[in-house]
Amino acid sequence: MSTNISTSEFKQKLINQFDSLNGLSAESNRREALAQFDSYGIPTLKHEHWKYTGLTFLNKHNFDIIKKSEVDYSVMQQFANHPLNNIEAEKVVLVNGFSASSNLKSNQSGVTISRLSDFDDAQKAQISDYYGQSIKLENNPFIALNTAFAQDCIVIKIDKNTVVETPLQIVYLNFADTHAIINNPRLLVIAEEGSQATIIESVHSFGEFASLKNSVSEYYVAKNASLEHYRIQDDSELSHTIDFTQVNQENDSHYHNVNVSLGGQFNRNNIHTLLNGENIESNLSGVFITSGNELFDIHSLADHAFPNCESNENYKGILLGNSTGIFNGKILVRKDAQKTNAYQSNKNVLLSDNASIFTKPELEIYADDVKCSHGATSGALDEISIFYLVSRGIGRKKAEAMILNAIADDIIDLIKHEPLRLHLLERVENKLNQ
Amino acid sequence: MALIEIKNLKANIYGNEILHGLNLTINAGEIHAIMGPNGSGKSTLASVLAGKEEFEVTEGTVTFDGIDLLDMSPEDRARAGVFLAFQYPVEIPGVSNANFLKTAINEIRKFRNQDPLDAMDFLQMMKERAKLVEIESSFLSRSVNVGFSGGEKKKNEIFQMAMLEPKFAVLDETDSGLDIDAMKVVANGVNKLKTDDNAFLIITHYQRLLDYIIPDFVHVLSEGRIIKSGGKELAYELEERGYDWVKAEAIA
Repeated sequence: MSTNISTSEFKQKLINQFDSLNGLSAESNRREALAQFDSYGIPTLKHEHWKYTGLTFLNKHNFDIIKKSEVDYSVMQQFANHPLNNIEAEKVVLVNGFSASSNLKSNQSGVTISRLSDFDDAQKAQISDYYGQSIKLENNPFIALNTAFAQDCIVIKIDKNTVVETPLQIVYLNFADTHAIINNPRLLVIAEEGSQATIIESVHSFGEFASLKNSVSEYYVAKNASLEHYRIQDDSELSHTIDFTQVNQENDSHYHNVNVSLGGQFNRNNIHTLLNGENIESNLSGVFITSGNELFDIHSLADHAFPNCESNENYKGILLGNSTGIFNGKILVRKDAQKTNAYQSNKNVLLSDNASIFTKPELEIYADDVKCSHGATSGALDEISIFYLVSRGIGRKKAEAMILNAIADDIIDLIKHEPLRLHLLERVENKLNQ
Repeated sequence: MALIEIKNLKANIYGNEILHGLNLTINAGEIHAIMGPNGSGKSTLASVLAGKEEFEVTEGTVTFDGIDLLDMSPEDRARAGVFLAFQYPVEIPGVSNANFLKTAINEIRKFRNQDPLDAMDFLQMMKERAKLVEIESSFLSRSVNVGFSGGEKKKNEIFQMAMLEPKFAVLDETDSGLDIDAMKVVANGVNKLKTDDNAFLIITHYQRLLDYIIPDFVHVLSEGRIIKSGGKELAYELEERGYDWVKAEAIA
């Protein structure tokens, strides 16, 4: 089904679809975003942030931007029996970025879930300090693309001092059953002062054609709020993701992101945290297992703007087949951010001669009283460890799986929501024993 | 019948021959000790018996319980009842002692066409055997050897041995780095595990351990061959006089 088109043709094709869509943002914003997308173009390997992340799949699948009116919600039936539909959580199911229902009421008090497209002007005014305010269109072609073409946004607001007992789960269903599609989901999460919540995002692709989820999420974690954020993708070879998540944290807040990626053809995750206050704790962690020709890419930024904060990053990769992993972790400590503690670790195991990992820490430090560290390792499985297990009667394959499991479980154990944690532990064990 | 019979064993690592034709027969119910200077091939012998791949056997045979041991994979050797207590036990982060041993025992049981051990029975067995080597049960849920002291690591080797119930166990310098209390615990564990049906090969530099584990035979390994064998009194003689006289005797 593939009909190769050139990058400029692809870009022009998207731009041509612009006028036929009813965008979410104000027309002027959309036009500006489109202009930014047009001027930057599709990144190539010559662009620093895309050096190892080839986007040739964009030319292969003849993608079209999905329109709200085209969305077929019947795919929700296909997801009904998925294990991730059956973990305890309050769910918001989106098909290609759209919710079938305008009535997204949460059953938990102090929690509002809504569609931005349903907002009146007064409601729009209330979120005008948040929506689109933490991100930059400039030099971010995919944020620009999303902003130009997003047709809806899910807005989650957690009121002051609310402790949300049941996690909120945003289920992203990509559905490409008649042609290859690009969807542009948008999420805005506002955790007000002193609130506590767990947000789960899961991504699932259906249909016989390729899909690209080009998502932008903004998380605002106010003073003394605490947010656990889990991103799970256990997806098909037709799924492609370019995700940008921006997290803005204020004084005394806590944010923890755990990213578990067990499958998906192309998965670029940008996660940027702005530590915009003092005494903030900000933790990013993740594990990915790639095989076949899959590519997983994490580009992270911990931006320390104020003193006395701590950030930790801990990412692990297990690579099989011809797969590729990319880790680019940047720590930025601004001039005023004294007494910053910032740590970063990236460990990768390559199980095949044809798998590749590109790992690059970037430390940019302008304060003089900080503790920062980073470490990266990449290599084959440790033969000494394997021999130890094998010498006790454990078969080689099983010994390898045990060691790999331990690597993945180390990250999965950080997930506090037990049903999700148990599901993932089991899923990883099965995957590694295959 | 001999439990293990090593005949004219020659082995090298990266082309460097370490064992130059070693002969040793051990019967069930016996404890043998191998002593010898550094570089004589003691640990190579242990590694070859356990099936470490870096070592290449060029000549000779090892028969265990009537079967060709050298033809077996390391895991099958363990399943058939060979155990090596490592000189340097390996740390495995993220794998608990309990999970490690449960997996090992059930793989061994599968090999022997036995049903997997029930979780309760396994727990009961673990608690019992832990007492044998005086380790606390909290240690069972910890990652294998991670953060263990040298003594704890060696006790863990004996604990694993107690759990896996091998027919033939090689203890590779288990006494090295142990204080006298830990050594007594280790020795006590071995003595309790010894039956008429199993056998032990104790590799050591020092006679000290052999005060607590009384060997039936003591062998001197030098330059990849056993050059003298005797009873337990040979260990004392070696401790007193060193190895040179044995070498001189062997040449003469």
